[in-house]
Amino acid sequence: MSEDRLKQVFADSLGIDRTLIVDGLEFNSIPEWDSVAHMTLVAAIDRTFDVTLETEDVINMSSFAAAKEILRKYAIQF
Amino acid sequence: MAQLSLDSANTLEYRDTPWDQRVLGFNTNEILSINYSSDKSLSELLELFEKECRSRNVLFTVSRFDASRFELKSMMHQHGYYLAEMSFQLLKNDMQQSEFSSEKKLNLKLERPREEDFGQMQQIARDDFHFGRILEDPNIDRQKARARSFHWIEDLRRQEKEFWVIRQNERVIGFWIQQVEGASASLILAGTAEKASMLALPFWKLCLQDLQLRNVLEVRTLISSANVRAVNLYRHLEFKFERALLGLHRMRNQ
Repeated sequence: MSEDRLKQVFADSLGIDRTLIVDGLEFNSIPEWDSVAHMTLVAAIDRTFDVTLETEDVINMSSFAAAKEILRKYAIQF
Repeated sequence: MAQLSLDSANTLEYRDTPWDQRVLGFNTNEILSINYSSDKSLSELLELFEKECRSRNVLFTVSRFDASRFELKSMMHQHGYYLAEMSFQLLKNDMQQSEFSSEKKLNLKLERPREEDFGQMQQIARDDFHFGRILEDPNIDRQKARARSFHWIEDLRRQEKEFWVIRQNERVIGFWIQQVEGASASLILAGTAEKASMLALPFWKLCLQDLQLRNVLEVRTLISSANVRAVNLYRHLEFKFERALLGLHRMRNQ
């Protein structure tokens, strides 16, 4: 369920199809995920999961897999 | 700066470029402007310049001209210049009407650099900057181009430009170097460490907000057209694209 929600957040924030969202999807690996979109994505994750990602998390969230890892720190289960 | 001229309407201004010479190991210069009244006089000016370069053993010349100067582009190609890069001159002249706050608040603070920060900035410039007139020149060794970026930081420091940095875990992860004169600011060089490049937007907003609070009305900068990430960043920040500039270079045999 959480993975589905996170995929939707990624899809909506980056404007990409859900099928592209795999663990290996990385920041700057597609034109849609640039520094501008990254902040939209981070704000959307904060809202959707009711968390406040720290600056370190924002830097480390360099892939879909990393996003899941970071959210686990906030007790979000995948 | 020096000038060659056929008459008052046909002039070519140029300068030595010790910052290029330092890393390339041979004499270099830059054409700053060319004014001409005909194709014939343009050709004569370029030949005069060529003579001057050969007499001083200048092996490498750079220049930047408005991309819409089609005849100049054509003539320079005929005189052995090649297209090395293209840049955009950008302008934001609605600083006081702009909004620079972000939905996501981060713990980023603009600070003046400490002594130990300059080495870190040099490393970022050398290792994480991939675009620029020399970095993009296919005839320049990449390591030498990187060394030029490294030294540029110290050059700007000696020129007493205004430096700002942001840190994470006490390491510099981004820097911004500008010159502010009254209500105008010129952004000379800015960037983040590669690993922190996702912070570009909030970092840029922080710097622009600081300028806004200082009552700066307009900000100008120059970026490579090949740096699509930067192009999109400035587009998002609603900078206007004032001009496209072609970087025409010439490498001469020894």
